[in-house]
Amino acid sequence: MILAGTVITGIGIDANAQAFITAAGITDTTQQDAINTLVLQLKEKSIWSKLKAVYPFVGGTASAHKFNLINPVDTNAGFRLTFTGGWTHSSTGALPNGTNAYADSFFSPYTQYTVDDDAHLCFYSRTDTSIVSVDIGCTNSVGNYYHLLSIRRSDAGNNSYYGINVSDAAANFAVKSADPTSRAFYLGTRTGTVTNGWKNSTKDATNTGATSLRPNYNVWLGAQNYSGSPAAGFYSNREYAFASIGQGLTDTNVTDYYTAVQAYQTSLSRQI
Amino acid sequence: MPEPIIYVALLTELQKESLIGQLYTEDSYYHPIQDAEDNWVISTEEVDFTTTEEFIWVKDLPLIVYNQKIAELTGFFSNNN
Repeated sequence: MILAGTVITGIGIDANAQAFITAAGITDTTQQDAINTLVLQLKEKSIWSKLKAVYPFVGGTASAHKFNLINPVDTNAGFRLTFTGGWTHSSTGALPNGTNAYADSFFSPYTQYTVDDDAHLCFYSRTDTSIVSVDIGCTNSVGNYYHLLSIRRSDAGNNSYYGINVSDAAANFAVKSADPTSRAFYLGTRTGTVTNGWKNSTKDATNTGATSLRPNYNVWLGAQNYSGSPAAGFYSNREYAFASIGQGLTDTNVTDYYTAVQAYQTSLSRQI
Repeated sequence: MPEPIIYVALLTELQKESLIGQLYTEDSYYHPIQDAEDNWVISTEEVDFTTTEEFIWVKDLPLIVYNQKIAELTGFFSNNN
């Protein structure tokens, strides 16, 4: 609240925002306000209830970045991230080294969803690279089915792949050919047999014939969880300033979501 | 453009075993991996950010150029799709 030029904090803090701020030990008022505004906007736009795990990457340390905004408890069941390998945490986000770093969300699509065709994955990348990587997701190597986003692949013409509970064929992924940059808000969402790949507020790719299978492995950030092990050669070196896991989103949901997340990044002076 | 040279810290088998499942700083775990020559290594970030007193010795490890092992994956989403 701003009254006669004075910023008054501590009034009207959303209970979920406050729980996260307390758990993550966020003392900076700009960061507190950014979290509170984000939560209020997600609730106002009816997106909050569709989110299972949200990682705002605010606070600048692993101990602050690990918490799930939806349920900020320090447990695997609360989908708190566990950081492994070389990560650099700062005020702009969480940066894996592209060599051996990943973060485990402990969120298994198989056990956490009751259906295959209602899910999304999202991350906000502050880095432009063309590499072979999976930024978020998991793979079941037996039968090869996927729940992942893999963008701007250097071994595939810089294509970006969006696969939400799909089986082993190029025809099952939503694909954006020759993605020109990876500095963006990326979101892959599936409702029914339709998978949409979004970049910022633009629908960049669509697939209408997705098959239905969901891996029983945890969603990882920064690497490909290949049946429980990190796949060598699929580590990412993109800095993440936000990520989420949740139910499928409508087109309106996604554009509202991007607006809220971009406003959040702007309030923290780290938008792209 | 040539690939950037990445350095990693070389571990013995015993050192690798001692780091598995251990924290190098708060809420951050070591992750020894094997390079293309099957050397066990950790990243320079893990070395630089180590604050756990028990593992300060990692700061004295020799550095070598990292040569990435290629995964043998199957299916469309392998690294040879």
